[in-house]
Amino acid sequence: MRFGAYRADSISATIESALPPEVLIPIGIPKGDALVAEGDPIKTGQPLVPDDLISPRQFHLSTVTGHVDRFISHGKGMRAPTSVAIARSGDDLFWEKEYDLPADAAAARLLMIRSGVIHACGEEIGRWLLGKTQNHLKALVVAGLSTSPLGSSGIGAVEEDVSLFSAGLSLWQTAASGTPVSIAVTEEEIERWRAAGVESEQVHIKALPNRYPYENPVILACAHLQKDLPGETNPLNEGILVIDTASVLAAGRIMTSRRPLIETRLELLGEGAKNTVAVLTRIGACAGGFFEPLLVRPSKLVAGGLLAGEGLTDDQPLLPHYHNVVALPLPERRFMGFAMPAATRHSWTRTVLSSLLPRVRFESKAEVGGEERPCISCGACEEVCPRGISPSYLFKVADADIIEEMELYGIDRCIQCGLCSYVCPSKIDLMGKIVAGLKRLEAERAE
Amino acid sequence: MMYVLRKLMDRMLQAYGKGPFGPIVEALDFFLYSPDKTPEGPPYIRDGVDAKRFMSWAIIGLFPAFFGSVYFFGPRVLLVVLVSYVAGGLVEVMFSILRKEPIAEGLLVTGLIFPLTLPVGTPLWMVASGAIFGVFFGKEVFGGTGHNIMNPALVGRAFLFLSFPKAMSSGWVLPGQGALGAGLSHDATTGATPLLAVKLAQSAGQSVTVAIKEVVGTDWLQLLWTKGPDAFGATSAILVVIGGLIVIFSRVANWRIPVSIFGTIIVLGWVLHTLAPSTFMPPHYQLLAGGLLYGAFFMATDPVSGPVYNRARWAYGIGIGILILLIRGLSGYPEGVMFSILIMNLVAPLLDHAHRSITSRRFQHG
Repeated sequence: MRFGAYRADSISATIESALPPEVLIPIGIPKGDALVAEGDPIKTGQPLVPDDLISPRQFHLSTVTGHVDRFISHGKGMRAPTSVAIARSGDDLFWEKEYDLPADAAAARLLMIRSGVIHACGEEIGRWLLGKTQNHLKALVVAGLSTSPLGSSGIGAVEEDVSLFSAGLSLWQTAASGTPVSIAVTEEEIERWRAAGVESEQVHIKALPNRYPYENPVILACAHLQKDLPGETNPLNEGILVIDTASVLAAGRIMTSRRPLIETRLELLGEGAKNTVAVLTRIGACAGGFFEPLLVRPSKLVAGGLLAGEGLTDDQPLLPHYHNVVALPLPERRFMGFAMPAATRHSWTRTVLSSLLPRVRFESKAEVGGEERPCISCGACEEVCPRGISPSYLFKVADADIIEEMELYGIDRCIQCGLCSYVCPSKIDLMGKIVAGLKRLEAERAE
Repeated sequence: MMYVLRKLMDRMLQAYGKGPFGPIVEALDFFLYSPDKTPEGPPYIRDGVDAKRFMSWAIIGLFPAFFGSVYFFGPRVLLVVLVSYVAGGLVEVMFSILRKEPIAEGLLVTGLIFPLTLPVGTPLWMVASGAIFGVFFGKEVFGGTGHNIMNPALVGRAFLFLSFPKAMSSGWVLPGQGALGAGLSHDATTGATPLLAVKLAQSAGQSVTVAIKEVVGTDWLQLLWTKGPDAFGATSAILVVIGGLIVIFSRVANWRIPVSIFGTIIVLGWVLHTLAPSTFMPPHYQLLAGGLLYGAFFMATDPVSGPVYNRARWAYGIGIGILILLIRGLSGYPEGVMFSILIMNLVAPLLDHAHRSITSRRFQHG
């Protein structure tokens, strides 16, 4: 295993951050009972919920030593993940002496969880894919892994380095007992991938048209899998395996050192950061103050995707499923801002002429960019919605709290990608209103 | 200098921001300086387009027709537009103050789109009352921008058209051919609009084809530049099309609506003309004479009063095209664009509802 070498290459900053006295471990919505109860003592690496019943993208092992303080709800949307708050009491690294090391199979499982295997329905897939593409998707991997120890076939995304990807791929293939894998990369990337010698009898490379960020990745995945568009529920029961550099590093570390994963690797991107840096940090460290030395401008930090990601508050713990953090500079008031050509900002409509200019520098800011106005029914949200529901109507019925209409017009199908809020010229937060409606609908159904 | 301006604005906001004139001060502040609000929830980045930018492109699209009419008819055009802005603006600002809501930008478009549909000789008090009626009954009584079911500019025009039919049908002044028009002296030549001339000839028992020949002669290209006396914004087909392309390429207007209107006029208009040449005008005359181009590019594409979904937009455009053909051909009115758009404005919510029902059925049987 060669993973040790990659670690030095891709981590450009290690920040020693003090862990807060209480660490939140997100466990998703476990389908079985939790293995621990409130007040139980807990050690680093101890499972919190049965690992095969875990929800996507979440973590199931404790990253600290202490006792279970409480179970709490955390996050947005109807699938609000439940977290376990653990009050730290002892030496988190005690396991170096005591802990029974996990077997290889368990490490592979950990890789899956660390990197976000999605067993669930198409909505999840779409959501994840959207999150991924906003993180500058460079490749999709589709592999038939149905016979593998990993248990499902998958689509994976590679964010960084071809060679790192190959390492991940070989790891994956070992696990998958040599099942053929096909990699889909963007047309510009394809030569680079061929040159890196990734292609073989077992590994096929295909070109995939991909435009950032409005190309619907669900459509992309469907095209690649040669399946119909997911119009209805549960369209792509393929399962997704993300192999990204962070996961490869984590898996490599686990498999070579046989340690439970208590660190996470984050990439800090965006105009607010000095340059793109990879940061190694302990899971559970507070976001507040953590990134400040790396920022050049006062910024809003967003974790987990530019559009659908969560905004980080100061007391929010850094969670294992955050692959990157985007620093979006805070806006300032510009004189006659609305009349400026605004070619520096990416625009869905052509009203800023950005599509006519050959070289557009995209500057993303955490900026509303206008005042909220009543909906003028321009239909921009309808055109970008990847799910074909009607955001402009749904947000109105969600606001008016009309449960039957919300159900009738498919509010359940929303994947919370945020494109509708992004394009709205009236600056209405459609997604926020639709998600609020979804929550009320869930509450209504629970009764 | 900039610093002084910013300080002044801050002071004004402090002094009047909370008072009854708050909306005016705020509107001025946000006009001068883009707001610096950060989104409260995801997504934290937003598109660069906002209401101001959106509306400014609609106005830029109207510029060719507007400056063209200044060229054709002289400075009175400026006066008419100014009166429309002031009258409509007063109503808008009054309602903003009463409702304690920010002043919406839609007025900037309505205030320009409305006077361009009038004969240039319209008395100014009439322009003012039309603008007030349009903004008040066309928009504000429904709840302001975004809630109106009909295009306020057309409501204002329909009000003038029905209340003062004489002034609205005989005040057509021939466009001057020199720079800045012939000025508007009291003895400015007036004449019938090309459509009215045909209609009159038709009711006198003449066939449409003969009447058209008499009105335009054989020089079709003349219709492209100046079509004779007409609503002053619609005078030049070329300028209207240039403006129309601007709004379509800036995506302020949806291309489906004008395309479906023109398609209907060309295809169905050709069929009807072939079947009944004495009643229906040929499609090229339908397109170039009258306010069809102007209506299709600037009036029918008003997002608020039109449908939201693309499929509904096709139906909406086709509906407008059919109604124009029927009204022009069979009714006593020479021009049918205004009524066609107003009628389809009322149908638009139904079209949207139909689209939603169809798509939601697909969700259920998934």
